[in-house]
Amino acid sequence: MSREPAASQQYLTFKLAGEEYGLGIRLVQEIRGWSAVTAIPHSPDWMLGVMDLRGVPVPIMDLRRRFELEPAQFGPSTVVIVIRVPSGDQERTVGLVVDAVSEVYDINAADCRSLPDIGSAASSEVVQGLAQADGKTLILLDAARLTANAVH
Amino acid sequence: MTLDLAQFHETFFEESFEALGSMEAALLKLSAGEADGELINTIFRVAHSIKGGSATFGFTDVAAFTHTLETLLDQLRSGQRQVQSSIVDILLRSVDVLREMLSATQRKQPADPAMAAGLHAELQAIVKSPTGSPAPVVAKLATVAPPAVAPPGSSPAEAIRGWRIRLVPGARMMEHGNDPLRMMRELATLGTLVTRADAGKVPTLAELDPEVCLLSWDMELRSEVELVAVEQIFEWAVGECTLSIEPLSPVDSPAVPVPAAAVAPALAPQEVAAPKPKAKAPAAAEAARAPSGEGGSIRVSIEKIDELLNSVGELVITQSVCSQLAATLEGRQANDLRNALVQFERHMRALQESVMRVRMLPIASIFNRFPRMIRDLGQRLGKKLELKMSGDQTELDKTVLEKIGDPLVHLVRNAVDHGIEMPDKRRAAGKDEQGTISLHAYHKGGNVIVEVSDDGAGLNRERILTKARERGLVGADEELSDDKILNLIFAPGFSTADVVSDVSGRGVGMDVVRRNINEIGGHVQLYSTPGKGSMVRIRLPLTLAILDGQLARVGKEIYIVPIVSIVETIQIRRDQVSSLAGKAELLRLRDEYIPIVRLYELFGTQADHTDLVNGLLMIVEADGKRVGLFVDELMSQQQVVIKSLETNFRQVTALAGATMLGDGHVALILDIPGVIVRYLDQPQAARADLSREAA
Amino acid sequence: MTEDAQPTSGTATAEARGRVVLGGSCTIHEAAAIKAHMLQQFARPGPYEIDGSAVSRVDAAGVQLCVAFALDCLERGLEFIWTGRSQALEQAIALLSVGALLESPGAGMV
Repeated sequence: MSREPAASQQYLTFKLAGEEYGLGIRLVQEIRGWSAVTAIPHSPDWMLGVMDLRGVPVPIMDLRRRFELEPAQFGPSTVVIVIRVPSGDQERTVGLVVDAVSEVYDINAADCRSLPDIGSAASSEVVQGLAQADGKTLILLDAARLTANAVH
Repeated sequence: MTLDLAQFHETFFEESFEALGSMEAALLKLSAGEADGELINTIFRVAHSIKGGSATFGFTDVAAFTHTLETLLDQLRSGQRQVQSSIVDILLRSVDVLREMLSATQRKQPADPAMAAGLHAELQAIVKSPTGSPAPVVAKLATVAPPAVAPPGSSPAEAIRGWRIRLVPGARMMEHGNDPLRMMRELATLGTLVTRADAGKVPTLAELDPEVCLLSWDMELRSEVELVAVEQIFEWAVGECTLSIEPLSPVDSPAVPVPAAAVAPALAPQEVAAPKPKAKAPAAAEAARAPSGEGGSIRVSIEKIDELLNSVGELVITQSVCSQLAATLEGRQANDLRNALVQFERHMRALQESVMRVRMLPIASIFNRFPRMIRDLGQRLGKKLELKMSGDQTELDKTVLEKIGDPLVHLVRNAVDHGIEMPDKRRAAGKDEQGTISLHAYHKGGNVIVEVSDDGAGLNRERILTKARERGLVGADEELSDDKILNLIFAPGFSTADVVSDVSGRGVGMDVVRRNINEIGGHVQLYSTPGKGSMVRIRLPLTLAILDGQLARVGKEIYIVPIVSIVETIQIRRDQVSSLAGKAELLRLRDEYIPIVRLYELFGTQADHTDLVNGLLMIVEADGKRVGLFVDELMSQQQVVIKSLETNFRQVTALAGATMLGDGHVALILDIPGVIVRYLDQPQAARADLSREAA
Repeated sequence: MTEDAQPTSGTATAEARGRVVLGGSCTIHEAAAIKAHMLQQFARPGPYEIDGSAVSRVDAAGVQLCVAFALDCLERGLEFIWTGRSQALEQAIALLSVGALLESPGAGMV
């Protein structure tokens, strides 16, 4: 069950294995390059570990692995999108490793469609909906779901 | 002009709770037989200030209750009614009721009307009852005459404003952490202080008890401050000295008496128009206390302090990065830079320590609940008890302080319930009928030590061993050292049995106490002598946020091991290692066997060395258990700032948090009890493979 | 008090004279030890030296010991001099208003 997005919202889009995904811009705190990550023992393979973000350890999630796509090499061109997501009465800060950052689009609620039933895929439960922009299909992600699953 | 007073509510509540604490302490002293006019004045002022504040905010139920309380206290204060123990009892119950009422009001819930109504009616009955002395008397009680009822409008403008203070320390005053030097330093910040010392009672050096202050002082403080500002300085020493504070000139006082919590004046409508500082609650409290604008203290939100601490932590890291970079430079300028950075580091450490100290508060706030508790327990159990406390000014980090309260309460209850014997038993044993419970707090070696001891019956080893055997914790034929027997007390579920005294009652979980203390990075130790008594010694870190850590490298990962958990680090010899097939690798060290935990295995990483003789073994201890952590290399020892993993991630067993090393690398901090749990959970197969590998 | 209560160090060498050295911490925690040290030094001949230049932590108990020491000297007609007083010690002495009691009889401060 995907939530209906607000009337018109801005989304930051990024590329992942040839597809375009979107996150509500209000959640995005910053975009960083790659730096050393300390692995946390006994975490899922898509949880790469924690990175030092101005003195705070921030967990870094590899979206390729998370969506069971072919993992990529990390290097100077790797991009990490840092998002702040409400969780209960607090906020979690999490970093997502993506291929590249694209654009910011204004998406109208009317232009969103929910994801058709495709059985359970690694990504389906965290998809909020699909939208069209610039002739492309954007897969809009539910950030709260994405990060909630990650931290348990 | 209407004003939103809600922003001042929190301050009012905080100050009222504190004031109730002083009232309670004063009442306990009264009930212990110290008839002192100053105590009654203190109690009166508390009631008066809470009445004023609650009326201002429209908390009518509290205001009505305290109004009656104040009337009764005024009768006592003026000598119209005698202080009797039944009255002290009802006043103590009033403190409880007021706490409840304020608490409910704070939570915006209705208070239980029945509770207050009954007591209120009792108070009113006493107020109306005959006092046995003639018509209302204006005479004050002997020692102190606060200027509270000076006729208004009678102060000539030229009178010198200030206070005459006479301080004669009592025998125990300094021992209990009250230092006249500190008091005078604080007084001096309030205005101009002129002092005369009297050394008449100081004996020869040989006869002098070095811990008893026999100097006394007459002081004149020229200042605009109100009486409360002066009284506050001597707050902790009330009852431990003879103190008199009088106005310098007879009609010196302001027309309106300033109540103890100093809340009402700050919020009287005409004062709101005054300069900006009063618009903010913390500043309002300060301005009301010291109108001359000097001295006193301010309330700061804990978030602000944490932000400050965080920023300082960042500074430390950046300074560390600079130092690392400078280490690689060449040339004479590089040398100068390095020297400058050494100085920088020193200043940074000092700054860090100062800021940490801002979060520190005296343990007195916890110790203060015990006189009341001991009194009530003693009455209930029919035991005669004396409470000795020292070091109540010992400071702890606020968070550690909050978490040590419950464990201490448990320990004191245990000491009273199970330690101290009934008076007849004590007499029969040749002891004083009155049992003593002692609470001591002091700093030692970068830690805070809190000791709870009693002079009771001590722990009965036989009974402990028997119970342990009954519960299958100890084998029927197993012999245990005295240490190990005492440690059984901490075993989960053990303490629910009545172990050590004839008085029936549940022992409160020592396992819970130890766990709570371990959670804040502390250690507990138990000592006991049969027939003489027992002592529990708690060692606490000065702050939760910073840890003394030993960096240890396993492959490319760096882990931090809390120094407080490290017993020793050794190199392994092949002949020291035994492996129980499929179960574990054990190191024989002197006369014990220590399980070897291969950290790379536990954490699923790569290590440089898999052969035990090529790495190092750090022997660590937690909860009375010891294991050896196998690592590649030991690195430096550092003070690290603990960052929580829970905020953004989750709690991970075996990890106490993370920290940033100078180069921006995140190092994981090990939680030793968690590591041990993780080790014990490991599948047998993995360990079986290991044991084949080992020699 | 400038009378020659004692012969000056004609017979006693400088090392044998009593010398009280106050450490960095001069508070109630060290009071018993400081008292013992002072008594020990009193067993030696005067004039005495008392060195407070290292004092950084001090409280009324510490200062009181100095007062007791000074009063003893006064009573027995012995001389002592301060060879140094740290700023912390000076402040404490001023606040507690015992400066006059601690003045070296006769000889000034070095």
